Amino acid sequence: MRVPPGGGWLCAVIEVCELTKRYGGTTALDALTFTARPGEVTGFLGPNGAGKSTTMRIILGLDRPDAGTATVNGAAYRGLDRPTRQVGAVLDASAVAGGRRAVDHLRWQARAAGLPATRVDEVLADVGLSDVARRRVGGFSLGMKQRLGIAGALLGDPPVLLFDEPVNGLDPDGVRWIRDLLRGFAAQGRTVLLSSHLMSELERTADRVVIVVRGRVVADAPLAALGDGLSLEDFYLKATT
Amino acid sequence: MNAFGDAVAAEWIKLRTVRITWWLLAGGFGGAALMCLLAFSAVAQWDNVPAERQADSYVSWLPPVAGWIAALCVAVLGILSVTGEYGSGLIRATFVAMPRRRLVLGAKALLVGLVAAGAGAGAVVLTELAVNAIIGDRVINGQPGPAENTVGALAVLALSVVMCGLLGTGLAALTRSAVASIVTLVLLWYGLPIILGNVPGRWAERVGAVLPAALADQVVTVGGAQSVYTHLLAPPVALAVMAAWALVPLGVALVLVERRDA
Repeated sequence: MRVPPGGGWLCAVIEVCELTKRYGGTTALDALTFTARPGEVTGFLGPNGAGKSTTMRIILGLDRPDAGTATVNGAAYRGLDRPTRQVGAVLDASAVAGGRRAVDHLRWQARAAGLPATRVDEVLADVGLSDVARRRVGGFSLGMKQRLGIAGALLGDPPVLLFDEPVNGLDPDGVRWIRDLLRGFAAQGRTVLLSSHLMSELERTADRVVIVVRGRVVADAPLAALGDGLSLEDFYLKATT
Repeated sequence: MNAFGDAVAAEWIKLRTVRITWWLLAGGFGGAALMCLLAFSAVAQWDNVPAERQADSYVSWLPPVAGWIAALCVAVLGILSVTGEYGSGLIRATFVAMPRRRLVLGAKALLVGLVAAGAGAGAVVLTELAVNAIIGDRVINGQPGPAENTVGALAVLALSVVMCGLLGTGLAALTRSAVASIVTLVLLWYGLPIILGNVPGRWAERVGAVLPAALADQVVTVGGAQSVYTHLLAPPVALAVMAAWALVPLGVALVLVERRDA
């Protein structure tokens, strides 16, 4: 993994400010505000339907908020030039065309970002899929699809990475692999936003947790500051009730 | 390369790396093979009837039929190139990689249009050449005479196939549903003409004249064709209506795609 010269990544932050999103009569996000900083894994924790995925989609310019802003490196995602080189994201790993070969799934992404095709071979090696690169994605296990999604996020070697529930479907080796990968990204100075409902996993991976319930941030603190012998689970249950 | 060039290159990789593309292209050209079988069968029958009854027999000009088959195949190709991504969720990866959505939809439409032009021209020209070779010097009613130049008509048929590909792409981008797009297309292409053909009155004729399948024949007519469609439009008007079917749904979709949540 290439470490960039200078401190270019120091301003590579995700800023979510007063984000509000309504679907019909229900409010999915209610003035949600938090920041994910460089050199940290920010854990984004909350029950199902809390608004984690909606927030991720708004950060990535897929959904429009009714109010508020989400910026990456100070710019709205849809205003970014060559976003693949600035932000990598894994949303739903199973959202792939089953008939397409793994290598082709990465080739179109590389081409869209104006990246050389050699990057495809490099990221396939990074995630351990080189041997199955020519296989059709439909035959992949969920864990292999997660690795393929991560390979796509790494194509542009971006300073900001977003992962939506990346350990779903992974075996213990895969969970360990993701944890080391994300810790490594943070150690390199990258900004990592990791959503999960697996508290034990976040406890081992995140530096900081943002807990969201019904579209509102109910806690935003470094893991180390939880203190008082509280496990993340205790802290979470206290924060959500 | 600029952003649109990158989008076209990326979408081209997507289009050629799923098998359905090649099956649909095979289907598009399969129509030409089917026309050859039809021509063989017609010639065999024609040769077996007495000369006085040969004057009563009739064989349609076949390139339009090959064009319809190709049109249906490329329309489905255009539909699936869009709805396949919405159905699987891949569209999110696409818009994350290429946030300028108009470029993505424009690239898809351009590629479907080019493939449709190739498949449409290929299918109708192959049909024309092969059927002419099969029929040889027999003079059969409905076939263009030796002095009749069919190049213009073949070009319009190929354009009609392009119209269908773009109409499919546009409908798919509007509805984001393969079922809704295919039902709409089949209604426009086959359903409404049949219904309107059974409704008496001028308004049914007028509506029938602007439906997609009725247009090529109103631009150029070959072999004194006995069309089931009405001929109310002047050739330039019919061409303009073809352009409208191709571009209006796509244009509306290009506006909406930036506004809607993906």
